[in-house]
Amino acid sequence: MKTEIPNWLQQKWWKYTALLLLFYVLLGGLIVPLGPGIEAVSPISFKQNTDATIIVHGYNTHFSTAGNTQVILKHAKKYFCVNDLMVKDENNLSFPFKFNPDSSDAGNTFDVIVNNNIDGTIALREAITFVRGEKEDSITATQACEPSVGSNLHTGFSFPYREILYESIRNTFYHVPMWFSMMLVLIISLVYSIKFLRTGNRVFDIVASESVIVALLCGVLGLTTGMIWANYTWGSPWPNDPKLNGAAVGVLIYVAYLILRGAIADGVKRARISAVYNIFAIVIYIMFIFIIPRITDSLHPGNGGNPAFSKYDLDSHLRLFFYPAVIGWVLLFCWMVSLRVRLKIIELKKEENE
Amino acid sequence: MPAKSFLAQVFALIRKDVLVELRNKYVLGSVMLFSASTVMIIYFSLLYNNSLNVISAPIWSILFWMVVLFSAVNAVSNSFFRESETQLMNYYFLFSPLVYLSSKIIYNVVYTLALSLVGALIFFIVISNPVKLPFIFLSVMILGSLSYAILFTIMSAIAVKAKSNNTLVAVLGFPILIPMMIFITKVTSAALGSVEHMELAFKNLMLIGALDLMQITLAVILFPYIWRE
Repeated sequence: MKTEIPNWLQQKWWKYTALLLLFYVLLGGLIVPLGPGIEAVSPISFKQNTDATIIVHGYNTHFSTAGNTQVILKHAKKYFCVNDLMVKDENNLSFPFKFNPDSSDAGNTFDVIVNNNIDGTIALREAITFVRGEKEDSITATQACEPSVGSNLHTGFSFPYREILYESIRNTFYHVPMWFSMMLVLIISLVYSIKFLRTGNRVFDIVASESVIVALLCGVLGLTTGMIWANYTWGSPWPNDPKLNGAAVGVLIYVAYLILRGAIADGVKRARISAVYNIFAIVIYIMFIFIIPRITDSLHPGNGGNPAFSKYDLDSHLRLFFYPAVIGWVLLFCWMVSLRVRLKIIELKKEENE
Repeated sequence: MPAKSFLAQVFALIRKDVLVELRNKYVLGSVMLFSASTVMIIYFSLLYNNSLNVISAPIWSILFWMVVLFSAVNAVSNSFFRESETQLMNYYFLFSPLVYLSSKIIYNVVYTLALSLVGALIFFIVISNPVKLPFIFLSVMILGSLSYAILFTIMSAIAVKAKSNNTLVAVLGFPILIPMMIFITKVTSAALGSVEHMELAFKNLMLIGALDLMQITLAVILFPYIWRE
């Protein structure tokens, strides 16, 4: 029987590439700061026609360094420019505000917008609500204005600041590639199962089964990183999300595959029957993960009512790390498969010599 | 012996299965009793928790298909596990794998359908009969039984060759069943609802049909590899 190690397993360059890419992602992903954003505004609610002092808390902002910081409040498609800004430090500023709305304007919320030449334009939607009262003409309130702002763009290299996500956006480089790797390794396993059934070469069976073990590792890692992430962002570790459930079903199927392999003593028979189960399971599984997210809503980007992945969640700075991360992780898991395959081939040869 | 046609061979095998089933009536009886007592467990649990009348359409359909699921696993795996190794060896030499697979699938589909009909009957009598669209309910019974039967036929064949027991059939089959179960219970609860759900029900019925077709294709391609000694 031909038990040579497949050629691609022995080449070194792609293993070094994986290490290099992951090192770059690990380092760069942690060093690059988060972009500026408005973390909170207090008070979150005030009464109309009263003097309110509003404090804006920024995150990674440059209120005092920038010099030309201006604050604009937006309500019912009208802008209100704020005078008498008191910049306390880089991340905190306050201003007095008095509001006398037209009763015809709908809604009772303000978007808070801050602009300066370093941070660009940052905003917090529906940051303040006000309690409506009667309109009093005698009171001099802040008037609507036509704002003129400089550059909208933040200068400097940073990851985008997103509400809910905040610093945890860096998990994109670790959580998302697990899913990519799992799919790729499962496809490798499918291909080698088919190859085994066509040729009967047991090396192909070894590649298929070891790929499944590594895919399970990816699945478990993806679920764990996802659960920790979801707990801090969506508020629950298991938010009934179809993607999450897809991964969970995959883990169930492949644990069953390993149990099946354990149940058969004879090597050749084990290889053949588990290849059949693998092919049967993976086809149904792929249908499952492609159909289910499209018929139900998902919290994940790109499904249901959520904006698409590339449009909104991945800006150009994130991509500089995200794509290398995907390639790096995929190669690393392939390396794992190759190590396990080489070990099993040695065991097989030993078994045949005895 | 003159070579018989494909269909004649398939029917000979089905006839044999039916005869064996009728000869061991206690097996048939035990499978029926199995689903009857599962329904009674559900009934009493609901009754003494005062929720017999508040049970919603999705819960009704999930409970119903769970009952069918467990009786189907038992019935289908029985049809494989009762055959001795010598018998299997005989069939291996006498019939092509496709003949054997077709006979098992047809037999098991009819068996599972009968089980689900009996299950539905007991459900109607004991728990409630909320079916508003009988046509859709009947279609989902047929397509759903088809899914169950094909899947568990393949899984039983795998488990028999692994010289294991019917726990393995459940372990192998249940995770793969999840997508089908979702669509089946969706259509069933639509059949318990009103006419507005008609469109949704048809869409999901098509999906179940597509999954069934996929399963049959896979079974036909892959069964010879399981069958080979």
